[in-house]
Amino acid sequence: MRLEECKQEAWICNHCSMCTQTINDESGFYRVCPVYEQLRFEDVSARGHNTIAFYLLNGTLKYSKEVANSTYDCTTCASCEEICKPMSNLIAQIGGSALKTLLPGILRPLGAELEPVQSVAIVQAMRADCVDLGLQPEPLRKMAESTEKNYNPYDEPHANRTKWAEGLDIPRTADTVLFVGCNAAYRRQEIAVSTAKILKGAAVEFAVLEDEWCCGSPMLRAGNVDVAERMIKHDVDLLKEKNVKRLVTACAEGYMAISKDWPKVTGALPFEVLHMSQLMAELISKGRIRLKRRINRKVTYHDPCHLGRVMGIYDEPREVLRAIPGVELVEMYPTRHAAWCCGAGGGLKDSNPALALAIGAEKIPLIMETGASVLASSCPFCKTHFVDVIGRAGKLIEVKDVTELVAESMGV
Amino acid sequence: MEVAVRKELAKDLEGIVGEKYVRADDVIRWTYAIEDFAGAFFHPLSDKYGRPDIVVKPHSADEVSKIVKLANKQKVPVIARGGGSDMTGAATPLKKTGGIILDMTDMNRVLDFQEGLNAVRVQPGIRWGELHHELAKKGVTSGVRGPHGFLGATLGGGIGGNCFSINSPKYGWVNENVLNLQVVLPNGDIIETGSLANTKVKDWYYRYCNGPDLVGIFLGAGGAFGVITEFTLRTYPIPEHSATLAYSFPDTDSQLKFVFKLEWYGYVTDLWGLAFYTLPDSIKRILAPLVGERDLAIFATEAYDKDIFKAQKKAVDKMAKEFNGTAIPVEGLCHALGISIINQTEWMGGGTFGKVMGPNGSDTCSIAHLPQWQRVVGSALEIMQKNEDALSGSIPLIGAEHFFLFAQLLGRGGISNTFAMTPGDFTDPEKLKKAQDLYNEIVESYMDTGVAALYRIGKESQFLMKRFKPEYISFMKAIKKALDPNNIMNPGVLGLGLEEEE
Repeated sequence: MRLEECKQEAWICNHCSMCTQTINDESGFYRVCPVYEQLRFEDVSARGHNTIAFYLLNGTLKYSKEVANSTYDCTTCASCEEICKPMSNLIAQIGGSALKTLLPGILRPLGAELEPVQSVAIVQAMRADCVDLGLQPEPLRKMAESTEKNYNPYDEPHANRTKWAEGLDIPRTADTVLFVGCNAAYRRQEIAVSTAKILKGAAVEFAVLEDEWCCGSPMLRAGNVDVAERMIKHDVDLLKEKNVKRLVTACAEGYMAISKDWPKVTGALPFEVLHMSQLMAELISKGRIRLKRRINRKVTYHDPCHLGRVMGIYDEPREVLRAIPGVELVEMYPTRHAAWCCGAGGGLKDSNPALALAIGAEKIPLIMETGASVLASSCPFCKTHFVDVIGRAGKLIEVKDVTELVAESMGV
Repeated sequence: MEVAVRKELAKDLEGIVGEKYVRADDVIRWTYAIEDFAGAFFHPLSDKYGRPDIVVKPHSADEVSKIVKLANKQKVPVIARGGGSDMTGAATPLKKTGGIILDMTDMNRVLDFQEGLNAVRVQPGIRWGELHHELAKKGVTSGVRGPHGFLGATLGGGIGGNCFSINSPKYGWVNENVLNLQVVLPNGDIIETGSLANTKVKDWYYRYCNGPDLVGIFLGAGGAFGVITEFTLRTYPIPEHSATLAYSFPDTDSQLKFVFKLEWYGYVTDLWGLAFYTLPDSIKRILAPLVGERDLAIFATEAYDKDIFKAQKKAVDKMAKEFNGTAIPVEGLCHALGISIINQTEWMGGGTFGKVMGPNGSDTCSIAHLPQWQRVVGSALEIMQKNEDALSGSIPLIGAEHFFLFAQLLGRGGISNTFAMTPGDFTDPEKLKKAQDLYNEIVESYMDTGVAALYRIGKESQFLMKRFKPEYISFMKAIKKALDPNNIMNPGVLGLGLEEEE
């Protein structure tokens, strides 16, 4: 069982129930688990998953279709881990980031960890076991099949991966590579196009690689570890071969996988990894991105779970939005580390689309309360899902990626 | 329960609450077979715990009543469960009896709050964090903040289990703040207590009227006599002035006298006390250079008026000096950081417990008469020190190989939660067994002092039954028999409902 690797974590969870449902005004949490909020039974919360893991590990419970259902009903949004972070409440009250950075440094040498119970890793390990046992939900199994065959989960021909770039005259080799990712390459091509135009407009020499494969993230979240590793090894070999110095991506999912998961498979990466929001913030501060056109819109920002909670990038996308002339940035509540998931993550949009849509719909009142006319995000998956969710609700608000707003303001 | 019977019962329950709110599959049954992890495993009865047959989510007292009537007819146990973080197995079914778990967490609404009422009417499935949020909107507080670290715990579990709470020294136990109950009795009748017994009363909640205090029977009873479906809790204005203060004392006797007097005079909102000699070496090494080998009292104090607050702090300082206390300057730091380090809601919750304090430590859920705290802790400390091996393998604070902690969490009325934290490595069956034995030995030693009790019993009745006076047990059993002749309400809790074993 791959779950064996998470045994210690499953035992450490003391079942305090904060990850299931609560409100913590001090640390800005209003509800925690998006799936529990919909289904209302504990087997889909982190505590439930940890309990299931415990009984699987001690042999009392066997893997089954029901176990797979509970395990796959999770967006891997890591909200559970955020509220579980040791002393996070105190840190939030003190004001945040400085202490958050300092405290682990002080406590770790003394033997105390500030990591939460790794509930998402436990879910992913159970999913990997489900894959091995043939219990994976059919839509995800098909995505894995497509990824093996086409190097993308959408059953699209690999040859079409850079079709979006036609006419943009993007080099095939440079120190900086734009890692586009499957979603932007095949589904949200407007994000790929605006990203490329911003880089060109800022005179960044960059390349897009025709033989880029899936980053592996959707496969890792879905439990298809072997497929993911094959993708990752290919991509790392390719980037090494091209002697790449810096990789930039506009995909939150991809950024997380490349930064966190790739080194676990291939060892330390010989290039710098940036999310596009980080690079844009830097280029704006250096005056290389010139935001000329006013966009007189009220904009609210949705924190992608894997960019925010997992990678800690909250400020840069907001800095970029605030720099756009005319944009008024308004915050939802809850926000940042406590932001609600869009519902698409962890393969849920494919394995249980109705549930994913219901989770997304739950967020609409929070968005509308801000009075914004644009919902911005930094993740093609989030945009795709919000376009669906908000479309079903009657197109109440326009959904844009931050790169689209920047490209518009740059006039590129 | 046989599969066919379970299926039939589940179908009947679906008829009451709807298909979406009934689950009887294996996954859900195991998910609800455990509450607080450490509590379950340190518990001597843990091998007797089992799965429920069915989990149901009711949404009203009427639905609960119908479920209980159905269960009574079929003689199936009913166990009400809230946040599921009890450390004494209160809402965990027994293997031999199984039963229906009522997951009360969808009954989580604030039902009534009126200006001038000084109380809030809630459903029992409301979580502490939700209550704080709702009351903050009204500009008031419940005073008691819930169990340390469990913002996800429900109030129903708190009152059913005699919750020791953050801010108990000032506001009392949670149950001292309960004014009124609505309860579904084992026969399905819905009763309301105190002022609400009068049919003319709709929204005035008072406890001590219209005859005996029937509220008390249901509080701390773990659902043995009925299912609480609504209750009223006192509220208070939010104090405008508060501070974290700390003093060190040359010996535990002085420290205890100070703490006792501080609470008696009503100056303290919440307090943690540490006796230096009871601490593990790892903590001693850190504290000694900072405050010397002295005992500590760290506490929060608060007041509504600035002048009273100032005078109160002065009085506290004078009181500390009376017992040779030395002030530790934490007030300015806490004020600058905007925090109180004592009445924090997270110390025992989430990863703070598991990853910092040590994995799966257990609290003994015991209280002691504060002035005799040393008597209670003394023998337990000897047991701990003799059996350090049972605690090895933990990943505790400050890198200690072995770890245990005795702390005084002050309550109201001259009592202290004699918190004994005992982590253990549950992945090693031998160590687990040793840790369990150690835990049992400690609780037994507490109980033999004659100045300690378990504030939360749950299914840990074995510590009590052998010490209870026979007349008391007979009286409890008589109440049980009168209210629940079929023993369907949470069998095993308080040691009741398992007569056939005797």
